[in-house]
Amino acid sequence: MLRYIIKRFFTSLLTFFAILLFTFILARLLPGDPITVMYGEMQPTPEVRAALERELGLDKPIVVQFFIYVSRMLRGDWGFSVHTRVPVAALAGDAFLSTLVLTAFSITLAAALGLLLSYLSVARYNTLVDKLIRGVSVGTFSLPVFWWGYILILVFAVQHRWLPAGGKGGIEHLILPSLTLAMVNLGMITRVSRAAMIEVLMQDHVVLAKAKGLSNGDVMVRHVIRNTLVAIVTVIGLRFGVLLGGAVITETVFAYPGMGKMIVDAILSRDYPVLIGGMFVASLAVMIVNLIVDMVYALLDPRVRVGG
Amino acid sequence: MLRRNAGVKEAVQRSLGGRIPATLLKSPSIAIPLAYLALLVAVAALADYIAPYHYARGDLAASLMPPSPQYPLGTDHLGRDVLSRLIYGTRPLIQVISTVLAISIPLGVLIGVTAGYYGGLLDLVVSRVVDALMVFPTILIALFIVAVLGPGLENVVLAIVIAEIPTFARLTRALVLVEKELTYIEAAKALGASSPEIILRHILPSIAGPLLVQATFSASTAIMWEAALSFLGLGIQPPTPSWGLMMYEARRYFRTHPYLMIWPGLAIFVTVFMLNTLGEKLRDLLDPRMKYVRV
Repeated sequence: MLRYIIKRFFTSLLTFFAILLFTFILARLLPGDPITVMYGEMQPTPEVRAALERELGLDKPIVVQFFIYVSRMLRGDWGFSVHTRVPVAALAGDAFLSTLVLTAFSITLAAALGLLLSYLSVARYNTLVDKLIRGVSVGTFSLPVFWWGYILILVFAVQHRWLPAGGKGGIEHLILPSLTLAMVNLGMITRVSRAAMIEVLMQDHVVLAKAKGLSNGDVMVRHVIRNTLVAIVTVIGLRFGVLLGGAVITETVFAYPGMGKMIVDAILSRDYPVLIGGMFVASLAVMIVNLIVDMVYALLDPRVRVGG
Repeated sequence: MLRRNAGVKEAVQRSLGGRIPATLLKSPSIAIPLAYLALLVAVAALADYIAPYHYARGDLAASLMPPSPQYPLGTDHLGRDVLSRLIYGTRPLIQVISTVLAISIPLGVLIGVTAGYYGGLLDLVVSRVVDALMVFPTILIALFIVAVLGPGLENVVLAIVIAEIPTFARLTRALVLVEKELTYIEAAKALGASSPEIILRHILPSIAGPLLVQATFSASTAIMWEAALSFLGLGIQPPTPSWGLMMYEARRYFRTHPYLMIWPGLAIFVTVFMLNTLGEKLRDLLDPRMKYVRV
């Protein structure tokens, strides 16, 4: 296990370096030189500009510039929003928390619903219920997130005024966005956990456990659910990139102040320091989630840590 | 012995090649999506004749009109006919799908075959680069490209292509690794066939099935991303009538005129659904074991 963890951390370290490189290249490729990018419409005087160039090391070779950039990012010195002059680190921190809450909510929702649906599907194997659940889960693969979000708004916020259509506030502001984002993964979770349940139920040791008189409930909890959870964690891990894409869209639909909306708004308003900070945090989030998923996976499935 | 083995494989392939299309078309989950796609292409080609109006023709006096005989699906905020815009919207759609596939399949396959067939250091380097690219989700690649190069059809295509090439490269590499160990390849080598000959005449035809399945899924992925980026205002720019862009423009009028949003969304949903159904069925028929990357 320890060897696996060390190996996995080393991979993450490489990824972290790749992320720093990725955002550094982004910063260099954006239209305009770094100082113009940093200051937006309020350009500094030539003297200030020269001082800044020295301070940021822009007169030095590109490799040195990269290391100065890395040290700035690591110290949390990410510059200021060109429009609001708020420190980017503070903006990104708030936005990150909002997105974290939203995605955590939606993943929990999708996992719970998916487990329930797949359980129903397996319990009513090959009946109309099973076929219906399978059909709907395949259908959700093709559902555009933004469209689904607007349908929910139309029904629950416009026609019936049960829930707010957007913004941030209490828990009621989270329901529709989470339901929207949950749809990104619900179909795949249902399908995979259904397959996992059927696979486990057909295995010899489960058949034996039943034959020995273990109750259905015990079999479900001790053997089936545990294995199904492995499958669900895998799906969530593999599809985190898709989830992130869904979050960007969902946040825009519901005007929810998360990372995705921050990045999109930053592109549209050419607020480059915010854009770079946002991309940095988003890539970092992907890296950390991948790490956590692999760890959970290793905990749940001993084969991984031995083989890895 | 070896020669006969190769002969059998060819004979089987030839006979299957003759029979598959006829059997396939009898399955509704293949025939219906194919018919739908053909219809889509026809609509795009004949848009000038079918559409009641030009996509950019607006009558401000008739803006935000409900459906009527004159405007079957109503009009948008600039008084443009929604039905006509939906019809013309098939054009950027097909443009995006065909460009994405035309670039990412050859490049991905080339990379995958080279890495898988020749192996060694080359394989190691290619695999690491592909892995590194896959660390960044499509959305981040797309936002990166759009931030640097600006919004627009070409840049959306570029972003999707960058995300899809590793997909094809990985799949091809995995398929080639299995295929090149088979007896008939050994036989071909023993008979003195050169590497390019083996790749072109034996390996590529054998792995075409799974690649076709992935191409179907990649087409649906491409539609989804184009729509999503256009919906965010970062994709196709006005006045080109992309379905995603129509939804972007409908955002401000959604509360009072929800149908401006519903119709293009439905069009995207149905199209992606058809492609996914086709892909699933083809996968079941051609290769049930492979795992594909999809949105």
